[in-house]
Amino acid sequence: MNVNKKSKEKINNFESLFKIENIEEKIELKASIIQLDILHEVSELMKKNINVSNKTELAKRLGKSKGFVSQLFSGDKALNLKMIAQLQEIFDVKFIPSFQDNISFNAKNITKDYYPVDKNYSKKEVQIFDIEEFRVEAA
Amino acid sequence: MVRKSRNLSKILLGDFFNLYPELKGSNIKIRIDERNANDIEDFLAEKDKTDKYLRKKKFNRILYTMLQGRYNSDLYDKEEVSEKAKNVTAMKFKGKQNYRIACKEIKCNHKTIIMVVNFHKKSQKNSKKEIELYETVGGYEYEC
Repeated sequence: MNVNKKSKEKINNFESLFKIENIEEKIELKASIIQLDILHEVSELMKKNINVSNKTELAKRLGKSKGFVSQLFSGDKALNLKMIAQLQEIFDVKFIPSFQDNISFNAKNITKDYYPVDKNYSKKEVQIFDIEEFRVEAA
Repeated sequence: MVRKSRNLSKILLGDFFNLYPELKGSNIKIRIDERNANDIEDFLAEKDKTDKYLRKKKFNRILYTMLQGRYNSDLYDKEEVSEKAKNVTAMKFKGKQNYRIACKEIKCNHKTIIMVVNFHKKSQKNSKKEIELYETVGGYEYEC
C-alpha cells in the first residue's frame, strides 16, 4: 500500500468515526444521551444533598457497587425505570418525563448559532420619534 | 512557545449536530493539538478485529458532555492536579484498559477545548508521571 493510499484510508477512518451508520446506531446513541441527561440531573441533586453527595453513597442507596454506578454515569450500563423510581425515593423528588415536538424544541434552542451574542454589545439609548411630535416640529 | 491546534470542523461533526441540533448553538469549540493530532486520531479511530470502532460510542458520549459544557467524572472532567495544571481536563475512556486524552480549556471568543495528548492510564490514582504530564499541558499556550 503506498503512502498516499494509506493516509487517505486513515483520514476516511477518522471521518467515519463521526458518521452515524444506521438507525440502530442512531437509536443506541440517542438512548445513551437520554441517560446522560437524566444522570446530569442526578449529579445536580447530589450537589445539593448532604446525605447522598457522592457516587459511593449513591451506590449504597441503589444497592449497587460503586463501579456499576460509574458505568451508569458513563453510559456503559443502562439505567432502567426501577432505578429512576429508586432515585425518586433517594432524593425525594418527582421525575417528570416530557416529550416536546422537535420543531418547537429546536426553535427554543438553536437561536444562538444564527444570532451570535456579541460580547462587546452594550445597551445604547435609541431615539424613538413620536409621530405626533414630529408632525408638530415639521409644521 | 505557542502551540498550534486545528478545529474539529462542523462538517466533521455534521451527523452529530443533525442528531442534536440544539448543540449547533453550543458556544464550545473543540480542537486538536497539531503536533499530536495523528496519535489522537489513530487512538480514537482504532478498530477491533471485526473492523468495529473500539471507542466510537464512548467518544460520542464524551463529545456530547463537552459540547453541553458539562463535567462528568466518568467521561470528561477537570484534572487540575496542581496550580500548574490550571484549566487542564481529561476525556476518560474507562474500561478494561484505561485511556485518557488530556485537554486544555482556553478562552478565545468561545470556550475552546483542545485535545492535547492521549495516554494509557495504568493505575487508578494519578501517578507522578501523569501529574507531570497534566502540569506540562497546563503550561501550554495556544493561539485562538
